[in-house]
Amino acid sequence: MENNVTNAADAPAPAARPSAPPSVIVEDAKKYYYMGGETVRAVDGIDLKIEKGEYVSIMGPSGSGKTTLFNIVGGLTKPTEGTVYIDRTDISKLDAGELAWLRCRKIGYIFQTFNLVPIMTALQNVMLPLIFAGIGRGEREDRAHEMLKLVGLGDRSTHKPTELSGGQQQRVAIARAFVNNPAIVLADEPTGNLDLKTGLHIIDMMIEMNKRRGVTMLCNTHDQKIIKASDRIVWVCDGKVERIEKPAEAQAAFADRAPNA
Amino acid sequence: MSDSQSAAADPAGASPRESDAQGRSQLPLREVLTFFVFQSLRLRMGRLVVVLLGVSFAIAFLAVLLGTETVLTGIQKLSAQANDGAGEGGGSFQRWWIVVALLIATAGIANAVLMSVTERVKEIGTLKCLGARALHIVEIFLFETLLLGTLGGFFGGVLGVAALATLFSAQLGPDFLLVFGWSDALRLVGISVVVAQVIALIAAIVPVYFAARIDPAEAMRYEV
Repeated sequence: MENNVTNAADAPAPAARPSAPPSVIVEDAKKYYYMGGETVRAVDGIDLKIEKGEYVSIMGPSGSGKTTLFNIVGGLTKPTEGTVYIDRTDISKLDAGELAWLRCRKIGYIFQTFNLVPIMTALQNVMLPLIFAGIGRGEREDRAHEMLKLVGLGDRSTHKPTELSGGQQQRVAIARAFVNNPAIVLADEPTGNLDLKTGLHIIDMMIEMNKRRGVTMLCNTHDQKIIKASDRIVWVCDGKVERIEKPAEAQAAFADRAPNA
Repeated sequence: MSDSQSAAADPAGASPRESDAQGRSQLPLREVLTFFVFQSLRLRMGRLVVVLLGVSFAIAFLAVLLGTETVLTGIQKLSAQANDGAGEGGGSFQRWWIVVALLIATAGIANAVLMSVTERVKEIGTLKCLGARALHIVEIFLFETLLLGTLGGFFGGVLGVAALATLFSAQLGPDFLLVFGWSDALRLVGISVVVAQVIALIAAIVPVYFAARIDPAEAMRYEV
């Protein structure tokens, strides 16, 4: 099992520039929760290296620690042990303010439930990360408009989230995640709440963003289509990395496990 | 991987414009108001009108009591000029009524802010994911409450003055204007606004503290 991990971590990713340092390095990350005298090992010693521009999917059963790993990489949860580097920054050494800045400048988030701010228009939602980044008013609006056009919602900029379909909301969320030119975008089951066709559209959009902008993607998913498109698939089980595969291998494994899917 | 190794690698991948190794995420006051406070108040108008009414009535009560004191002392002065009689001051028990009214107003505002926070846990979590600091969350909710308090204070003050005028002009007729002028009315509205702002800030302390401490990872799992 451990062999597998090191092998995969050493293998150069296809999209990576050889000179560029990895976007994400997770070293022996552990996250324990203490509940009623019992220790829950949500993440129990994970090593992971993600190259710049790589598209990595995380797979695993519910309760395997995917979300916790995700939150650790996203700087939302501090690991009990271990270190995480995002774009060469050791995030365990950051205070709350620096962490906020890292989340603002380096990380984009895409959620299963979209999580747009309901009181704001699509344009304002996309502008939010730019405000936090301290971008001036004019440039902010231009860039947000540009991003909305890029995701095909140029004509919907004044609509509130409730006036948009699920797919459209997720597209706004994608625009919001990428607008600050982050080093890495984390997507937590981005197609989980969408129908197949809309989900495909969202996946295409994320892949295009990943390839065109060279943004590293870490995607937590059950969706086969995403797996097909990713550079590597990390299988997580019981808080550990079970194995790391290429898409083709994962597809075969997927077919074995769920022949009907 | 050691720190030095990470630091040695130069910002090859970083976009050239921003030197962003160190920095603080920002949220200017103008954006606090236009992006959050005004829109949130507009969206929650229905419920806020109820809260505003409660606060306004409490503040109006305060204004009436304070105004009555002004009117009574005014009458005393007038009558003192007329027949040199001396009267005693207004009852100090009135202060208790004022305290009760303000407590009710405080509870009303605290409840409104608390509801606003709990139904926006996910929004707060999202904002923190996007780079908001705890301070920004505090600002958003504090200004929202402050605006609520200001509106409640203003309406309450105006309402109180109106009630006072109706009450005493019925009793005193045109003499009322001798003891209660425009400056008194303005002063009363001003006091009302300031008092309402102060109690709004007090009411906001606990809910805003909760809001600022919301953990983004927890907030994402939160179901309303």
